[in-house]
Amino acid sequence: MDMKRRWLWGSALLVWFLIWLNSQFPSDSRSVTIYCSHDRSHSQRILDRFEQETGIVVDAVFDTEATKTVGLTERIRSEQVRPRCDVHWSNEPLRAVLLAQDGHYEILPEGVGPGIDSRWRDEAGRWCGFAARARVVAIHPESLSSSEIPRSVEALADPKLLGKVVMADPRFGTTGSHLAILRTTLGPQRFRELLQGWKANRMQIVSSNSSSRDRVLSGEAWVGLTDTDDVEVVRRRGASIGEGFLPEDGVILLPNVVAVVKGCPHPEEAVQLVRWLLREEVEEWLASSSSRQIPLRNEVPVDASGLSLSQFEPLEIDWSAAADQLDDAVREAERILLNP
Amino acid sequence: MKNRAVWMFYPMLPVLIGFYIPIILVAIEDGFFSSGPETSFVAIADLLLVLSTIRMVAVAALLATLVGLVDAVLMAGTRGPLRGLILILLLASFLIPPAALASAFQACIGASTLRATVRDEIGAILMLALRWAPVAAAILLAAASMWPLAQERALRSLPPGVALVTRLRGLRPSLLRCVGLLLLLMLPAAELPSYAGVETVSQRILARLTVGDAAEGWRLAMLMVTLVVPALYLLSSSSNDPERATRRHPVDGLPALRWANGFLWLRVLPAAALLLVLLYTAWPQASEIAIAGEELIDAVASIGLELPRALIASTLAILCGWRLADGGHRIGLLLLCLPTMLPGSLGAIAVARIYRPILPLWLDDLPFLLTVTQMCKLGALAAACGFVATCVLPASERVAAQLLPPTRARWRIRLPRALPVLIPAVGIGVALVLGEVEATLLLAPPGHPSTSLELHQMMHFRNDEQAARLALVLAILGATMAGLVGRYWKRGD
Repeated sequence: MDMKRRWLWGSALLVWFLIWLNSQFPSDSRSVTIYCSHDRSHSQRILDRFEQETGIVVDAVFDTEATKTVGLTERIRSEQVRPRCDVHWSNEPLRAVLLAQDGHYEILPEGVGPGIDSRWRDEAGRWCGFAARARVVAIHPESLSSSEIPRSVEALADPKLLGKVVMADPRFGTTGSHLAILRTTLGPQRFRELLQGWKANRMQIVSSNSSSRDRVLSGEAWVGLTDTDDVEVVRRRGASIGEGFLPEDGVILLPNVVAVVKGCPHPEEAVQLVRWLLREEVEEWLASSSSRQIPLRNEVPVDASGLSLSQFEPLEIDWSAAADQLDDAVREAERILLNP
Repeated sequence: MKNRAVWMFYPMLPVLIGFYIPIILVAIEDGFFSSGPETSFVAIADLLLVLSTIRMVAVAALLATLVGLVDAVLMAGTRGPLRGLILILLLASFLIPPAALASAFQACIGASTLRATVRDEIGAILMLALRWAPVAAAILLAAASMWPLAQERALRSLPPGVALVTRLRGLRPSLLRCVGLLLLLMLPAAELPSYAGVETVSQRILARLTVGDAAEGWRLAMLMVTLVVPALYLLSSSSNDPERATRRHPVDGLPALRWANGFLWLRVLPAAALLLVLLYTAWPQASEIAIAGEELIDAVASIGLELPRALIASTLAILCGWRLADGGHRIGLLLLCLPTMLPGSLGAIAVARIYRPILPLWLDDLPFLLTVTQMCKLGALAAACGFVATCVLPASERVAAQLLPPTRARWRIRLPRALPVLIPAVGIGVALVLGEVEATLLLAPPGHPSTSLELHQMMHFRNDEQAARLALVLAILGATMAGLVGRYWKRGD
């Protein structure tokens, strides 16, 4: 290589390095950091609107299923001594409840989330729920008639469905929360019997809710425990798939949860963002998106294809009690369903 | 003796800072050493799980090595420009995230046809083996480059069939080492087995962390380490015979085999088909061209911004591995390997908990902790390439270098001579850093670009077209790396 080319390459590398170095330092404008485990394609648009309206720059860290929700919850725990997250937006409540119990959240100011019922809030005011998902069973349309659709989790142990029921890994995400809630409502003994029934019925276990839905779509399973958003996203792509709400158990609604992290670096901006996220418009946007969230306020308008709170009889859930059951529910599910 | 220990210490610094010190402190903090009432039961259940994980991974490593062996031998029998293309296609199945390909298939053909043919453990073994086979081929090609030139020339004078069998026999001593390295690299695998519905130790550790029971996570990790370390130590002590090598040479040591190209084309057919599916999925509709263009520019920009950091992390890690291997520090190499076999989340959480509170505020916005953690995850690659690089050095040059002062001989003679192995290894390291997810999610500063994280998020939320575009960008990057690797091997010295 001659000298001229060396200089050319050297200069190009130097410019590249300087651009990179510059990109590593933040700007001086007002900012807020949010850790968000909701669908990025929807939440990013909402956060962009907040930025446009307020001029506050939002630095977002989004979760991924690859790490099975270890990610952001554990990140908040590991940053306890010196937090760098201002707002935590979790797409399921129980792990947020555990964070609240461990003292990771500030108490929210009075009046945030007007119109949201107290059943969707922390008693101590550390978190507030909005826009929920429902736990459902995805149904393979050619395999079961409408009268055969399971109406409770216990029906999933029916020998007629031997080897044809699928569920996501019971230790992670909303499936873990679902089991913890079941353990709270059924009691430990019935919960273990339920798991043993599922085991005897050769329930398939897959990595995620979306995989559970995909096995139903492919016909490998007839019934798959999953969430409403997982069903809706493939329906909007033209797939034919049914859903059932397990009404005999009471419909389980899992709201998104938003909280301000204790000792966060931008408390003022954090509260501003939380107030903004808990507005009716945000629930409306989420309800009309392909994640088909269920607004927790009856007055929020919902499309004909959407779901509203008045359509269900949601199960009354004691969030703290359910969060306390999470560890035991996960261990028992692991021992009964997963151990080699 | 004292000097030797001191020189071992410096290349160990990143792994001590980025792994051992935080891990030990956090394990103590989490009550790793206190035992609960269920400990004995948990230990038995966990032992069974660890053993079943090791069994599955060992079979997958063996299978990957066998497929890689065939690839490596036949690659030596091919000639011409198609050789590079075949190499790129071979590596594609490793460099493109498997879930991205599954996602592309689903979007292209439709979910109802995505019916897995094999499930559970056999499925997991097959998927792991096919994904890692190109790495096995690369390891074996590197091992073949250690052979004396005269031996290679002699091979060419033999009839093709006999030469093929002779080369297969010649590679036999490297097979065990290759299986060992792959076993180590595959042990933390969680994604592919979970796709097949198989429980692994990594998944269980992650499960423990999600319910805040880190102590049991540490116990599981320690159990796995305890079982694997003796095997690793034995592997690293296998015969190192540098006296055989007299000069480096290209890897195309066989006489040209007429049918090798045809066979390899068949072998790369699935990878080529998957790439086409990816391209088909990524191809934007007329109405999406503007958005797709923006996405592509964003992806290229974020990779461009991440590349210097990945390059720094990979280069430093590989240099540390080479330095330890060059000094003959077997224990050091072993310690370097261990972080690779544990889930990235574990190390990242420990690093965040120990260093974040004491780090100066201005470092919070730099991906310093992330870089150190990712360097530690490259430990096994660094150790393996260091080991190969020192073996590649011809015996005559090694002896001649001993006549010079040690430092001068190391940095002016042995390091430049090791570059043909180290530079491709840096390339592979860069690809691994760019594709790393767990530590990135836990340690990257907010707003930090990460293509791999974005890809996983898109796949989770079924944005298949965008995911396919990103995967294609990664594939092009991988192809460039593979091209560089191929160029170095072709040049030989």
